[in-house]
Amino acid sequence: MGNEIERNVVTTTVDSLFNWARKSSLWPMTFGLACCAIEMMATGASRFDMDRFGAGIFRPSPRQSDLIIIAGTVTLKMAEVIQTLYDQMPDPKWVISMGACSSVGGPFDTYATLQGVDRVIPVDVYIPGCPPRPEALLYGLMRLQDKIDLMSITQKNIQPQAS
Amino acid sequence: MNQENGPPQDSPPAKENTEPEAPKKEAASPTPDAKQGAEKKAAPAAEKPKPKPRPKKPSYEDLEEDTLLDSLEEQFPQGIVSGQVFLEQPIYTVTLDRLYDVMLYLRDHSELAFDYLVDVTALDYLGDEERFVLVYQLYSYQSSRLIRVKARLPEDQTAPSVTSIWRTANWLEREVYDMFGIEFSGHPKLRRILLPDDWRGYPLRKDYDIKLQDQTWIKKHLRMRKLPD
Repeated sequence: MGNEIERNVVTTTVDSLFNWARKSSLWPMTFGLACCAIEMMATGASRFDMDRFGAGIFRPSPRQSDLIIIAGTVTLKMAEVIQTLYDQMPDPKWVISMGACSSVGGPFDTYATLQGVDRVIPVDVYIPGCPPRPEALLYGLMRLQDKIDLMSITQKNIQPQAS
Repeated sequence: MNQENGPPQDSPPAKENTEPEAPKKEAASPTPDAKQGAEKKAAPAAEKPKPKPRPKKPSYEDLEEDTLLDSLEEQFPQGIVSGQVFLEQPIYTVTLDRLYDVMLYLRDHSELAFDYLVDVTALDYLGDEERFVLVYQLYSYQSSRLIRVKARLPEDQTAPSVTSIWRTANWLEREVYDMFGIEFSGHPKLRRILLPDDWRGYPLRKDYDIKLQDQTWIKKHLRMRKLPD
């Protein structure tokens, strides 16, 4: 009997169980703004296959998403929409800022463009590039998974160590 | 860029060649020295192969023997300001009060039949008495011709809408209104098309800073987060 328990029961902590579940099934929102979205689609498709990391199910509704990838130039008009979408996502939720435009405005230092999406919603991972290659997006996703791994139900917002 | 090569010439380089060099040298040394230095430098330049003749800069020239201009002037004696050509592109400038009639004529004339309004845009000559220039690109599928029609208007005047001639003008005129603030009388629904409805300012005007964002709009519609410096 003791042998059976040893073989079939795994003990763990609530933190690592929840974190493991959360990071392994990140559902991003189907949301693209510009050319970065093309790269994001390529990342989701079979050649790069984002589903290997559990993040391949792009949900059409913010209510079913854990992750929003800001893939492209954020105009001020769209920033208003992004804020609404972010509010509609259930907690816990994460944000990846993909590419130069969404991170700092990119080349569009103009009247119409928001100079960084972090001015309207909190960003977890910034990915440089114009646009970033699918490998870069996958790396950003893995860094986000590392960050999720550090979450704790008793402590909020543990910052990952710089690597 | 090509100034160092100078104009093609076989005779030893003279004053002409030193002229472009002089301003550069003057900063470091007084003029007599500069001339010497320039001559020294110019000597090997003469041995170089002759530089290719520079392509002529495109310029506006008056239209000559243009049947369309003739027929327009016949039809609208007071309405045609000028007919010009730029890179083989004919440009007809008309007065604002005859603009609508000219456009209707261009579309409905059986031989011209400019049935496609390609684009409407505007220019801002800030400081001029007639500040704006409206630019219309017309295409005729029948004769495969592309022409440009221009009309000047001052800031306080409205332009006639051509939506009743070409329906595509609806959105094009809205864009001109959005970017320049030029109003079109007779437009079915003249409101902003790119920027938010309650935005203030017209970004493509010369007195508008291209980086200027309407802070009142931002305060009203966005919850801006404080960023660490």
